[in-house]
Formats: sequence, structure tokens, C-alpha cells
Amino acid sequence: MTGRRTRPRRAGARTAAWVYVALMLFFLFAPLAVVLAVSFNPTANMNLQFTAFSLRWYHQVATDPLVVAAFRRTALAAVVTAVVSAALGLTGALGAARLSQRWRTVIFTVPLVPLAFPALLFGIGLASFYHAIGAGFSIWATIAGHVILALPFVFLVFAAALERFRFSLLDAARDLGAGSFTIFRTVTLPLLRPAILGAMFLSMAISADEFVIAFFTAGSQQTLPLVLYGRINLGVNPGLNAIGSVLLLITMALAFFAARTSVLELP
Amino acid sequence: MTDTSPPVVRLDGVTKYFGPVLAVSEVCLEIRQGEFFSLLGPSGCGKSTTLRMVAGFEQPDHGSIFIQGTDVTERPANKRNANMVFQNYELFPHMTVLENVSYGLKIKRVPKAEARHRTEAMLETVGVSGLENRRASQLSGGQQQRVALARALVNEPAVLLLDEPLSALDAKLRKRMQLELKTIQHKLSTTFLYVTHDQEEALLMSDRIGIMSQGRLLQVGTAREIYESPSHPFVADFVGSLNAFPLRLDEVTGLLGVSRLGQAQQVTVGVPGGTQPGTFLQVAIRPEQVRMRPRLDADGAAAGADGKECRVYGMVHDIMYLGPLTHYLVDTPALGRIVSQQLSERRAAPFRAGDNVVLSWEPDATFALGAAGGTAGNGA
Repeated sequence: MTGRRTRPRRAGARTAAWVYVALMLFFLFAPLAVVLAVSFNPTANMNLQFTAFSLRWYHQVATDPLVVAAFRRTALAAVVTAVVSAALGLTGALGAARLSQRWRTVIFTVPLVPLAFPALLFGIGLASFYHAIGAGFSIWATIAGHVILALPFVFLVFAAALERFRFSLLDAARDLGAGSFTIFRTVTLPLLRPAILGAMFLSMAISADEFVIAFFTAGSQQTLPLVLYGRINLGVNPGLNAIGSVLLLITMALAFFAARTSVLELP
Repeated sequence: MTDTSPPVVRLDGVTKYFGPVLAVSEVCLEIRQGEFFSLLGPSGCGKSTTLRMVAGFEQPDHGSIFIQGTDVTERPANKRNANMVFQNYELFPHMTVLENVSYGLKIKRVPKAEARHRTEAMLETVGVSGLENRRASQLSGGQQQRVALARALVNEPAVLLLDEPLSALDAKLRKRMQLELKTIQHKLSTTFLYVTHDQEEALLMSDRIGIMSQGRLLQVGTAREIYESPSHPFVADFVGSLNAFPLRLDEVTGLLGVSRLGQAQQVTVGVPGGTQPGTFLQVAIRPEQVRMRPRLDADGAAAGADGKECRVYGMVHDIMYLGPLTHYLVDTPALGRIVSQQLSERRAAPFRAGDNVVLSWEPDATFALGAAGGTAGNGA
């Protein structure tokens, strides 16, 4: 986005840029579009010969108790992950923001390390850890893993928001008689609302389509991606496309809201 | 000090370190009821830190702070009967003007109707009624300034603390706000503690001024006292402008020292009792006190040495026209360059560069800044 807008560009360069972006978007979204399209195709053989528009497969999965239960669990995991990681991330970032520049750099860098860690190893490690402390495998074990996974992203969102945050406004509130909790409720929270919403949508999106951690820790309480994977092992079925499409749309909507809320500054 | 009412704010030996740096050093100060008191000094002199300690945002390392006779040194900012107008206003961007100004009243659980009434009355007082539903970002700098003022004043604080509140405004608006602030202060008879680095602002608005430098409070007095009888070289130099020069006293008669500079030139200056002839002093004269006339052939031969009027000869080096005033830069063999400030004449200056002139001033207009060379001690 930091292109040199002020410099006049040659028309050829501009066209090339548009072609590049169009191709990129095509390769990015074409497979997703296929999944989406096929999910509305009533025939059982998965090809791109459309006969009619049908919600047959959606009806099939919506009446499948296993899928419905998994969908509920996924929703639960997403919401709890969002709330917990936002709460932890916000308090952590608020604390870190009060440190000196040097320590702040350290605090804001350390949580990024897990991002570079292979997810598979992280999942196995988490499972071994649960086993070692005697905790069983369940959706809650998965949620704990999702919180850990989402936390670096959430932390980054808050760190960026706090870079621009005018802490002197808190002084103004205190000067007008507000105690710490009132200041948090009436000034800090409303001013950070875009960042909080953005962080929550982001962590929901991360949790909703997460596979590896759920695979190792959910046990019998499977989430939607796990059910999807299980079904693929039983043979490819257009119903999978319906599940995949739902998952896709939810994740994209969340990502969209995440981007929108954190980029848009409330007046 | 005929005022017998207890001070609204009292600082008693207040000292503050930032790490190893001494920011405020043993400041003692009393601010009276209804007074417009300014802390004046260059940036980094500790004036803002002092203000923030009164507000409760900084804790003094030593000393005590009293507001209305109560020791508030240990009290947090939200439990002090003082409100602040911040340099950048710090209006809450997510609230309307009305919500901003009534914030303090809401915290204090003032009944809604009364809060609304007081808020609107205060907005009226500061001259921004009709903007109640705007947000801070939709206001001009001057309007934000007024809203910030209203937000603090509506709480009816014992003392209003103002941290360079006009520094973000342009010169014209700034001048207007200075007068308005003074008017509002008068109308509400609230005690104002005002921090500024702008000497003109402090002289114009304040009942009394405290001059700070390097964490120390050097002098407290009215604008006239500060300007005409500075008790410290820094005060003399910081407030107004100065011609300063070293002087060797040839005669001391009582409390008046005289330096004879030859050809009927002389400078007289008030000195402490017991000062010996031969003492070197650093002395100063304000440019507007220095009169100027053309030098005649008779000058130098004539007496004048009998009179106590100070006079030196010189040649006009340069002329600086400043609109209402003109500064003449005069090189004098006896004292170096002296600036004489005159009211501007219409059409043309009465002197030209190269003119020989006589500079003169009243004997008591000269004041001593201390021993020459800046070190204490008598004699040479």
C-alpha cells in the first residue's frame, strides 16, 4: 500500500499490475470457488457438470447429528477462544505498553516465536503435555490450544493499537475523579473497541478452521475440520463440499470483520 | 502579605528526582484564594513537573503538598480537589462535548438534571454553547481549548491547573484566549495555577508569578516586582531583555555605587551596604530605560559628573524597526553594545547608523546582577 502514488506511472506498468493481481486472486480463490460451486450441484459424482442448483447436500449434512454436534463444538471453541485470548492479550499488551522501549520490544517479540514452530510438533507437544499432567482429551483441551495459537496474533493487534493509544487520556479521566476500574470501563475499553473486536474475529477465524491441535487434543469431541477429515477417509462425498463451504464462508466473514474493525478508526 | 485567608495550595519543600536528575528542588510556595498564579520558566525547568505533582500525577520524593489546608501528598489524582487543563486538551475522542464536560460530574454521581444544567452553564461561560453534540475531532483548536477548560471548571475545583494550555494555538487566537482566560478566572474567582514558558503571557495574565530554573523556584512576585526588581540574574535575564555589562565601582556613597568612565560618562547602581570601592559588579539596564540623544561637541567637557544620571557615549551600529518600537544597537567604548528601545517615529527613524549619540538613564534603573564573573565574593 506504500506505493509511490505521487509518481505518474506508465499505462503498461499499470496494466501489468492489474493482470498480476487478477491472476493471484484467481489462483487463490479458484479452488474455493470449485468447492462452493460443487456443493450446490445435486449429482453425487464430483465433477463440474452442473445439472441444477440444489441444497441437497446442505440438507444432508444439516440433518447429520455428528456434523451438527461438531458444528456446535467448533462454534463454542471459536467463541471461547476469542473471549479468552482477547482478555489475556489485552491485559498483557496493556501491561507491556507501560514497560520501557527495550523491554517492550522483547515482550512483543517473544510471543511470535511459536508462529515459526511447526504446527504438527506443537500439536504433539500439547498432547504429550496434557497426557503428562493427567488432563483428558476434550474440546476444552483443544480450546486451550487454540488460545495459545491465537494469542500471538491477538497480542500483535493490541500492540499495534496501543502504539497509537493516548495514555494521557487516562490521566485526564483520573484527574476528573475516575478510579482505575471506571477509567478502564469508560475510556480504555471504548477506545480499544475496534482492536478488541478485530482481535476476537481474528481468533475466531483461527480457531474455526484449526485442524492439527484439534486432531491431537479433541479426543472424541471432534470439531468440524476433524469431521471433514474423517469423512474424506471414508470416501469423497459432495456432502463434504457443503461442510467445507460453510466453514469457508464463516472463516471468510470473520476475517473480513477482523480486517474491517481493526483498520477502521471509530470517530 | 496582608491576606490572612489560608493558602489554597501550599508546597512545602517539594523535591522530585527523575532517576539521578533533580527535576524539582525544595520548592516552597503558597497560592492564595482566587489568585492567578503562573509558574514561568524555560522548558525543563521543572514547572510542569511541579504542576503534575499538585495534580497528583507525580509523587514528590520529599516535601508535602497541601490543598485547602489538607495534606494531599499521598492522595491519588482522582481524590484531589484540583482539575487540570492539559497541554493537548486530552478530550475523550469517543464522547461528545456534553459527555466530555459532564464526565467528572457523572463520576461524582451528581444528579442528571443538575449535571446537565451545570454543564450547559459552563459551556456558556467558556463560550461554546451549541456544540454539545459534536465530537472532539469536529472542533477547532480554540473550541477544544474551551471545552477542556469547561470540563475541568465544571467540577468547581479548589484550584485549576493549566499546563501551557495555549501553546497549541496560533498567535492571534492565543492573544484572545489569554484575555478570555483572565476574564473567566475573574468571573468564577477560581484559583488558577498556570504553567507557561511565555514571559509575556505570564506578565499579562498573572496576579503573581513564580520564576523557575533548573528545578528551583528563584523568585515569586507580581509582574512588576519580577520585571523591575529581579532578585536573581536568571530572573532578570529571562523576563524581558537586558543590557548587561561588568562595572568597577569607583566610589560608594551609602547604598549607591558610581563608576566613572571618563569624559563625564558614569554609571550609578544601587549596592548592598558595606560594598567597597574597587568591587566589580555585573549590572544591567533594560533597553526601554535607555534614552538617546545626538552627541554635541559640548558633551564631555560639561559637568554631568555631578548629577547622578547615568550616561555613556556611543555610535549607532544598527537600527531594527519592530513596528511600534525601534531598537537602536549602539556601540559604546565604555560598556560595549547597548540596545536602546524607543517608540517608533512615523516615516523615518530620527537616528541613522553611524550617528554619535549620548545614552542616558535614571540612576536607579540600573540593577546589579551579582559579582562580575558570576562568582560570589567581594573585591577584585
